[in-house]
Amino acid sequence: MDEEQILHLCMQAGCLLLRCGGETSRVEQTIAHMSIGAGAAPGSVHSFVTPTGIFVSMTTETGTTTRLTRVSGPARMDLSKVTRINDLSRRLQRGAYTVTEALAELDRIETFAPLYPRWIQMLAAACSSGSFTVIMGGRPLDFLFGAAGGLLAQEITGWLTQYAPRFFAVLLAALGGALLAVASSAFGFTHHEGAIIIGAILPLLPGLAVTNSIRDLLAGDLVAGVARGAEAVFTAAAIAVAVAVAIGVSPHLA
Amino acid sequence: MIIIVLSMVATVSFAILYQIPARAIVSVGCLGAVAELFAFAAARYHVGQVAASFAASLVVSLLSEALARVQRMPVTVFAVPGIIVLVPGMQAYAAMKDFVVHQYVLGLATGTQTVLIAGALASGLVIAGVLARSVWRPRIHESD
Repeated sequence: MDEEQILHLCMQAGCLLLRCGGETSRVEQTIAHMSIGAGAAPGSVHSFVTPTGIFVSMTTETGTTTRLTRVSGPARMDLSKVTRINDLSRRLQRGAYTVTEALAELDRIETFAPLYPRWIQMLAAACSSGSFTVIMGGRPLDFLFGAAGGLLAQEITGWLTQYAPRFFAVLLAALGGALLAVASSAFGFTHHEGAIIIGAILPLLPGLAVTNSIRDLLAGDLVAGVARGAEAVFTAAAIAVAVAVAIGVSPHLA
Repeated sequence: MIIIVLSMVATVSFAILYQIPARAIVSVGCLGAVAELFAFAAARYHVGQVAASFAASLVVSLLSEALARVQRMPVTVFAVPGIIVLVPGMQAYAAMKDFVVHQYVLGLATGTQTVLIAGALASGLVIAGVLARSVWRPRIHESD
């Protein structure tokens, strides 16, 4: 048993989980389970996880080793990676992996290409927005406008999150989607601009942030829960502002 | 009927945006349909929207917790896409629209309703989470 290696494994798994959209309570739990699976004595590894950083410390007879990692903003949400790490930790605990094998497996998970290729994701963005437009009372034809708006919003966020804070990206993306909806209505293609706006911005809603925030609060992770909640509120506010701007502009178009 | 199918399409597409594992897709689609069915039935029998949202969210979250344990995947895989069709988009939009045209009182009324519905969705998640945690004692690692 090598404590450096165990801590390294815990850190790697924790960072990856956090960046792919896992809750902090899950990260703490996974670190605890993985360290035991890797051979640490139960209760010798303690972790404190926040949405932006991980602290892990391990106590042995020779002393205490502590590691700290700063986790920079979420990469892309990827719940399939979260599931895979979950499986890995479970198997490690059952003894199906050694620590070295687990580290290799973790690297493999990290470098996995997204489960669904880019064109499927674009199709999914378009389909979800189009379907929501119709569910919210649009005509079948409005599916197309909603889909276009959703695709536009999705592409803008995907591109902008690399350069700007997330909620600024969401603001501009929602603005793009909503303006497209307003324009299609102003030029007389449709009368359901409301339904189209909703469809276009729906994929931007902070659904995962809200769910994670609630689950963290339930698990007693107050810091993480409140932080995630604030993120969700900011994102929702950004969307609201974008929609307000688009509606305000609409009477002056065409 | 077409609405139910569309809500399944919407839910599954949403799930793909979050990159959920392929073997969860069918169950997630069914969750979306269940949620929409609830919203539909509530409108039919004139149940208040807040109450209906709460009931639907509770059922969807409980199903998510159960599915997560059966399929051994994180709960978020099911709960996040499953609940999305219940989001009060129309009310939020109407409230913003009222504010923009200076109908502040109307906007406040619709806005309050939006917040209440969102709160109902969140409480559904919370209660399902608490129930699940107390019924299924976290075994070594199978809990979530």
